[in-house]
Amino acid sequence: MRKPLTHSSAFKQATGEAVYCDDIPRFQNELYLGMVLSTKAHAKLISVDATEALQQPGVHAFFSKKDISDDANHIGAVFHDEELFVKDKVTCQGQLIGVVIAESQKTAQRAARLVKVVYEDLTPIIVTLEYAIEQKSFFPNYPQTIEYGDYKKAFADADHLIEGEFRIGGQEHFYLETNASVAIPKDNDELEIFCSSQHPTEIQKLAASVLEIPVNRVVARAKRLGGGFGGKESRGTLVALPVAFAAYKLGRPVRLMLDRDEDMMITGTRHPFYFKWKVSFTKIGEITGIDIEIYNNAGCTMDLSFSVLQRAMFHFQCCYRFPNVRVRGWVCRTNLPSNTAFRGFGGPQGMMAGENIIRQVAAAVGKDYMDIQRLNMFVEGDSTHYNHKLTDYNMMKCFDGVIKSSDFENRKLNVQQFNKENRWRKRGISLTNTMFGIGFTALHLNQSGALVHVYIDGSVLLNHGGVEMGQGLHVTSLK
Amino acid sequence: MSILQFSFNKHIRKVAINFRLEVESLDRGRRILRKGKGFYTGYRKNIIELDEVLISICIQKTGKYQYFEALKQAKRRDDDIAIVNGAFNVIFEDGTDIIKDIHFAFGGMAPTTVLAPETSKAVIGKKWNSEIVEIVNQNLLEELPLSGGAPGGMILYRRSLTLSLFFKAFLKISQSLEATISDREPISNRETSGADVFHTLTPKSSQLFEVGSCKPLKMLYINFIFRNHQKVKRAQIPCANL
Repeated sequence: MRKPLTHSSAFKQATGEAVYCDDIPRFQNELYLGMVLSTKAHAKLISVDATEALQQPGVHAFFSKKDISDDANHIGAVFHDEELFVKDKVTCQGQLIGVVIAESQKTAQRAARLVKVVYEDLTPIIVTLEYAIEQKSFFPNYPQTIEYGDYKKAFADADHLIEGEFRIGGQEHFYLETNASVAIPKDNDELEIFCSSQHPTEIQKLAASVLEIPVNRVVARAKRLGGGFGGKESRGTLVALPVAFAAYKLGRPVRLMLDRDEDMMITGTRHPFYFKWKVSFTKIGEITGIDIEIYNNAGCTMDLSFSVLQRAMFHFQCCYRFPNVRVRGWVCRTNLPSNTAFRGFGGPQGMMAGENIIRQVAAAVGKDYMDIQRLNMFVEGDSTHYNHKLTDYNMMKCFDGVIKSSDFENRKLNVQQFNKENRWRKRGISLTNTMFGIGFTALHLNQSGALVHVYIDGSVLLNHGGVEMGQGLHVTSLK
Repeated sequence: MSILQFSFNKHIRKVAINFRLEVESLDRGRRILRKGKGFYTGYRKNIIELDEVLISICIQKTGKYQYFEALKQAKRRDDDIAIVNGAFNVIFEDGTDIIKDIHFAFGGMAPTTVLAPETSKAVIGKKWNSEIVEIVNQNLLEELPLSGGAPGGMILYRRSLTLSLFFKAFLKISQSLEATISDREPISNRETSGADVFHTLTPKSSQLFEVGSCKPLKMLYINFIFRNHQKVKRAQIPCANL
């Protein structure tokens, strides 16, 4: 297990021999998919006219809501609140209205632009969290609340009580390989989908659902990804499902790899967050209670936003003891492409807010923020506000170790000295802690199986449900 | 040579300095294009025709009393479009710090590279000192306005960058003048580093392998290769408990 092994994918990747989804050679009768995307953020769909597009040489078909039953049209990661093809109303730019299937990428993209879509504008158009809060544009059943201890009593007894707010924006995933998919009809009622997805099982399940065939007729394969970072966990369906749908309907292989601008436009980003908090603490800066509101910008559909919010509600405390807590969270619906998983999954946003609170408390009592970090840090046996008892808790050891091994104190002095001596050029150094829960909060997801075949020549085949996206899964599996 | 460190902002440097382009087409033969207004006709467009090939570029050598600075602010350090870039070409009266001629060129403030001739006029004949910074700031703000809805956004930031880039060039040129002119009041030590530019460091990495039966925290010798310094350094690294 502990013997060093070279990253088994590295040679192929470094030499350019690794085959990614779109590197699969073209099939003889393959077609390409062009997307007709909404150009309005919030509008009623009046008409869709593909007559001119279909007259172009090399164009084979146009599919839209008319070609699919209402039931099959509903898709989504957990809640089926999205549509494969928009039916009545677009709720963000870049939603799929229809697809043009043609002989080449260029023909498909050009023809897609010839599809005439008539809209009727709707209001409001909500983009920012502030406006969503003002309009009370929340998903149903929010806020969710976690209460631990008695924050009201803590506030009443407090030496100090301060309020604050904190914002954090989203980022684009920017994987090197954009979302791609090739679907090949097999026999007469089966389908094989090659996809650049972190979650091929979901592609398999939803493809079967939109095609109204049993799941066992669909094989979804993902050999390797050129990066995912969460961006291909649930949003990979945006590409794989229309491709699967067209391939199955036409009985011919269909391919699509998004151009970078298309990918950035439609696949969503990290969740922007807005935090509003009130915190009580003693004269020396020991935190006694907190009441915090957390809002995330989900975009136009739920996707995984509920779970991302939950992570932030768990992790805002970072590794600091807030003995009395009320945390309330809202998932805000806006007219942006649906935001999705991104490394840390709401945890980093929550922890940023927690660290910000520590620094505000430090400023209020006139102490160094590291003293406040140390003073409030969890110790062995403490419990988090989500009732997780901390055992084998090495945070303080880790904190002291980092300070020592990075020579933090000396470097901080050097920075201060440099800043005193230089008027126009400044340096900074900071220490931030993180505490992150490993695994899924939906506990049944924390399991996996594998199947090992040992062949008669002694070679071994390992089947597992993981997807290699740069994390070194293959080499770990080999071990 | 210092201006050659930037592989970008070619346009901006061309506008600020005297240059001559020789182009040739099969049908119409050679012609010479000079710097000046009218060379750029729009965003990424200039008067060179589609069938013309660039034969040569003539750039005037920098004179003894001439200083040239080109600076750029971008989101990424390599291979990115500038938010604003500026080039500053100053010629002093022989052996003095009195401005004989000066050109300010900016990119990112209009669809094409723009000069600031009024600002130049306002400081020609003046000594190169902190007073001209104030004059340049006043003039640049008037001469390079951006409307609230200008493409690219970041209006206030871009306007303030024109001033910041000039100030950076001012610090740099002032330090060069100190070396050649005796009676100049030196820039204070606290301010000199404002003229420094960023140099990209070659990324370095290392991979740790356990050797034999490695116990946690056993020391291993690893070679760290610092390519940009062309030397090899030995470092003692605690073996990670993989």
